[in-house]
Amino acid sequence: MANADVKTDAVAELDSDDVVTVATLNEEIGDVIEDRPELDHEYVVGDVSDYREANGHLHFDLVAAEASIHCVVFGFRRQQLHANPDEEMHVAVRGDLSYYQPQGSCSILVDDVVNMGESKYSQIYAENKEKLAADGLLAEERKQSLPELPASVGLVTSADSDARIDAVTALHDRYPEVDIKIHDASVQGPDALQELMSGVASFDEDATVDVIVVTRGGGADKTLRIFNETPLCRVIADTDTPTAVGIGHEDDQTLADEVADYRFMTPTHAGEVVPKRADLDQECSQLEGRLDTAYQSAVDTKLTASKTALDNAYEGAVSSRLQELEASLAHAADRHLEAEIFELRNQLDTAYQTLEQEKEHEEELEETVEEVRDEAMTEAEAKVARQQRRYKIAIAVLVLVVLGLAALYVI
Amino acid sequence: MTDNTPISDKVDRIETIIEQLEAGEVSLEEAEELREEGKEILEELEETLDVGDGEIIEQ
Repeated sequence: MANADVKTDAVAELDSDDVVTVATLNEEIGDVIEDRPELDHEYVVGDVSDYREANGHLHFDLVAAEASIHCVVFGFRRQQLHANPDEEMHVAVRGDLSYYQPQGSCSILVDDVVNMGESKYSQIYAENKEKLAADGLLAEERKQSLPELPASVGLVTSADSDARIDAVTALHDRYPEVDIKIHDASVQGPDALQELMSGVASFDEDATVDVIVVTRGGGADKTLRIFNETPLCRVIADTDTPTAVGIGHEDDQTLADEVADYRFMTPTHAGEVVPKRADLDQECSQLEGRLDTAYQSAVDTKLTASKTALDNAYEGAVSSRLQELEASLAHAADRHLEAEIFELRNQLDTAYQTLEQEKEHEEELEETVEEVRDEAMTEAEAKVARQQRRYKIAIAVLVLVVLGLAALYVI
Repeated sequence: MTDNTPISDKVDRIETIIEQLEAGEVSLEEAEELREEGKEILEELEETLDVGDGEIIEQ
């Protein structure tokens, strides 16, 4: 092993012949472990923790107090187990100890699992939960609403953890203007309980903190057990300030989650305690747009109604005046027609009378002509008679003359 | 509406104003007043949204 008496950052040559690679060391450890009959026990007893399935195989940690060892049940062996291992189960496992050289880790390759009852921790967990429930700390009606827009968030977490970075990023991603106060607290180990409790309590007394957030990242189940401790749960439950707790991974659930006013899944979900600023801005601008549109529509409706009323009134007035004029016109036309008809009738009457008179006059004329003709005829006849008489006389004279002359001649 | 009025109440009031305006049964004067009130609440809202400076304070 390296001599650490003199510390330097400079690259140095090793003054030793006994230098091996990690692979060699792991191989050597593997040889030691697998060849030792005293490590070959029939059963190993413990509690199942961090149970999970991967690629068809079952994995879990067999834990007892602070000790733990990884166990794996290969898929083809799952059917032959006496009991299916599960969280909160106290079990005896039988199998071969195997050393996984690449990672330098020991596992039990499980042949069989026997159910030995509830795990010790599951009993403790159940007792703790019962105590909290008996005091009413798990009741839904106790839970406060988170503030709709906290100005300041009090974050209780380990200051140098990924959880802190994730939670701060998540909060500021959603609401960049929110202030974040951070209380550094160990989240596992002997000081953790006290530090977590004092972090929550001090933020509860800080009037500027609007919501208290307690968070830590994932880890083995037994490292999360501190969040099932009743003193911490009581402090979280008793705050006046609303609390939000997010411990471990999505499927981890602790009593601290249950007493908190709000549970979020993981540190990256811590942002859920603040609204999304972008959504609020969008809502504001949508409201502004809708307000303008609604106002415009109200004004338009009113103006349209006024315009319609005005148009109707105008049309009413014009139409009534037109009706009057039309009536007057019709009346005037009637009178004019009547007058014309009357005149025509008069003319007709006059003409008829004139015609009658002319007819009478003509008849008179005809009568006169008749009379005149009769007279003329009479006169002509008389004249002819007279003429005839004259001629007869003349002829008689002439005869007489002739006769005288003839007599004379004879003589 | 004051600075301490919850955001949701302010949003509700603006929604109510919008509904009143959309119903169209308000006079021009009332419409103008409602719009002014809505605008004021929106301005208050926007001020409310600027809660802080996004500071990270280690304690």
